[in-house]
Amino acid sequence: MVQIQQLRNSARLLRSLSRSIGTSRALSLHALAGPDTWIGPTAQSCYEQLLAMRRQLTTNQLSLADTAGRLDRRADELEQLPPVLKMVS
Amino acid sequence: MTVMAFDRARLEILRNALDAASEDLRLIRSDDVHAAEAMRCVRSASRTLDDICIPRVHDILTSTAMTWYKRAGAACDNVTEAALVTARERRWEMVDDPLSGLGPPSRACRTFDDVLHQMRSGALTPMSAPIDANGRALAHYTSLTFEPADTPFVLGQIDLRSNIDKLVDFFSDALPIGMRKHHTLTVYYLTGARVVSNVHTLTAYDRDEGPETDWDRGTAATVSGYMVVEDDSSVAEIVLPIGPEGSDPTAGRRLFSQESSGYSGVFYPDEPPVFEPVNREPSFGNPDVWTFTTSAAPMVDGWGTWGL
Repeated sequence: MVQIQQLRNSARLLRSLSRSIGTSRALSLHALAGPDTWIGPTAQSCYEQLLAMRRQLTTNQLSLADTAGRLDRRADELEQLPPVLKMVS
Repeated sequence: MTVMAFDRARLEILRNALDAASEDLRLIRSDDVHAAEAMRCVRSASRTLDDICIPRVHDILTSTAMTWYKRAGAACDNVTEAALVTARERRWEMVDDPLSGLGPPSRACRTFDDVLHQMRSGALTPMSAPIDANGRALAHYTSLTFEPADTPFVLGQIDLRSNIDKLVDFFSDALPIGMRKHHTLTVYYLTGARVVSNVHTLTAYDRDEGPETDWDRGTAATVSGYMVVEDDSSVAEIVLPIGPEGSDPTAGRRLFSQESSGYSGVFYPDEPPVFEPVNREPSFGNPDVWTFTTSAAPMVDGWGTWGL
């Protein structure tokens, strides 16, 4: 039972973290850093850095949600086990 | 000297947004083991904002060295020059670009797609491959160990799984026999990483002590550049369905599970590395370290194969 609760807690935390990343204002910075705002090597460099940062944050956001789903499924599996097997696992 | 142009009002909006985003990232915390990679990414993003973007925007907004439009003729290319003409028509302010005063733009400015494209076209030159023993007993081979000075900056990652593998992964949730594969290609940018080249002799070795190494012939260099790594892992499992018919098909008791994983990669340095003698035993336990050999089957658990 403890393991199931740990899996559920972990899944909830990961979803919360995923939401925090997803709602971070870091994801929308690139929209303000384009050529409507500034032009030149520095501008281009910053814009590309922000795009790369956004791509990576988004990837991790989805990965966290995916991991949370897997942990929940594992907790579901454990809950379905007969009591004897629950103690073994 | 190249010039840059900016709309002050919009740049101030960007500066405020950068500050707010930096604050958002600072508030994101987790010590859950499953969130380690995500937290590394968040910290890396935070550094990008705090150490690169915010200072640059601040410098531009506070710069008093205004530049006349006539200097736009020194722009780096026609596209930039045309953009600067437009900027002048909009009455944007212009200053000398701080990046152009530091020589060519930073290599780290390449995007994920740029790196892949330049790898394929040969525009990026890989570091020399480690020496291969070609399977000959007592022959020498070398390994390259990369120790990042800081958390590597991840430029991007793509999923290389075939559609069939994705389909098998999907149905593995509901079938008693499942196979999950992960095959990704990730591009990192390493800054000031230490690379150690060690010379080994191809012999049977003690797993705890590692391969036979000639410590006197080790060399090391400090490098910055792109690390391109393919990670490949698979998990095969057999699950005994439990519960009444019609219940959750993902519920079951795992009877068998076998995992395998490996990686391969190549490093593309910004500048050719200068190796110097070193006499230091390498560590085999650092998860942020990549060690490569040219052997098709890496010599040691945890080592990867050089090449993609």
